[in-house]
Amino acid sequence: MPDIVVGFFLLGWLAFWLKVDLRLPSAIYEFLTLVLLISIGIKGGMQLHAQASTALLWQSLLILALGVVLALIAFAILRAFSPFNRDDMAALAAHYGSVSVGTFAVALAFMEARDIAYESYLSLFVALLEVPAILVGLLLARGKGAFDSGWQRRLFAHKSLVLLLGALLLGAAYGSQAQTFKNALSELFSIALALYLMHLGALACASFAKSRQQSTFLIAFALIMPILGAAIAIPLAIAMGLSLGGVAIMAALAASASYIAVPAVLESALPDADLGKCMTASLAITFPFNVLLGIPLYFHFSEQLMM
Amino acid sequence: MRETVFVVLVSALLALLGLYSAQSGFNAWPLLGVALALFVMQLVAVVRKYRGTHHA
Repeated sequence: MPDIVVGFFLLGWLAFWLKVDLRLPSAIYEFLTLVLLISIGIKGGMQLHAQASTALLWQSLLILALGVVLALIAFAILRAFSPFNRDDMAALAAHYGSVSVGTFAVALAFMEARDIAYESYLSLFVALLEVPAILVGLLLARGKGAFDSGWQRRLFAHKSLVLLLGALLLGAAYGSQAQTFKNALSELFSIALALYLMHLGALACASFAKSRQQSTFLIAFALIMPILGAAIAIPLAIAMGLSLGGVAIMAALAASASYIAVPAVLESALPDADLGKCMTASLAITFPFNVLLGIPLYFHFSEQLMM
Repeated sequence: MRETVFVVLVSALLALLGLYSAQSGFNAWPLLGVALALFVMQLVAVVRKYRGTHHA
């Protein structure tokens, strides 16, 4: 049986398919996203407070490199096989080099449901993986011309990144003093995640209807990228010395594709790119694949390789 | 043609991954189902395209 939070994703999907729209009002969806980001950030920040080291710096550099490599692999595949134009290829590459906070939260819930320990500071890697893929995507689309006067602002000044980094910094600054706050958030986390997934289930079902109008190629691409991302991340995470839970979460992170931050940035940076195509691939195919099949599969392979 | 090659390769890779993970005790039926569904979708797309060209 899948985890109960995953059950809510299926509920949202099934209800939408039966023409019952369980999508939440946008203000509530935003609120749930804020709760998830703050919970993940505070928890990670508190562990950073306890465990900050130079090893973490090296790990962070490797994570930045991973974001670049994933985006380049996605672009290379698209260039070799797809009929898409350069802007679409670069936008898709940026989406697949970046990460999904929703997938990360489901991976955390998967580990917690099984009492598997993991490094809480992995939430730092979520924030780090947001940025390099967008840069690579812009470079691939426009070359140096992508970096006009407002690029720094477009890249860093979006809500999810600022909130996640802010919560991480607050957690790192307050350390154990933030424990009571963290406990209160932990109780909210599962409920927020369940409702968030129910909303995304309905949203993914709506996008899936569109994906059937897209080519089978896009579906195949959205299925193979998570497998490739996990295949690269698992050995990397083992080499970085992460625990079993940490390795599986890293695999889920590398396997995920952005559907919040990257579209928001690329909407203005690459106005000619077909972002609907990117959202269909990341939200309607890759996200459900990771939630329903991918995370247990990555955990299984991590376990096999670490035994 | 390149797209078809890619889709067939992905289907084959997913099927192999499913078979390999089943050997080590993982419930791989959903993965094998995804691989098969992808292959069938592409097959249908190719047949439709061929019939469209043929009738034209």
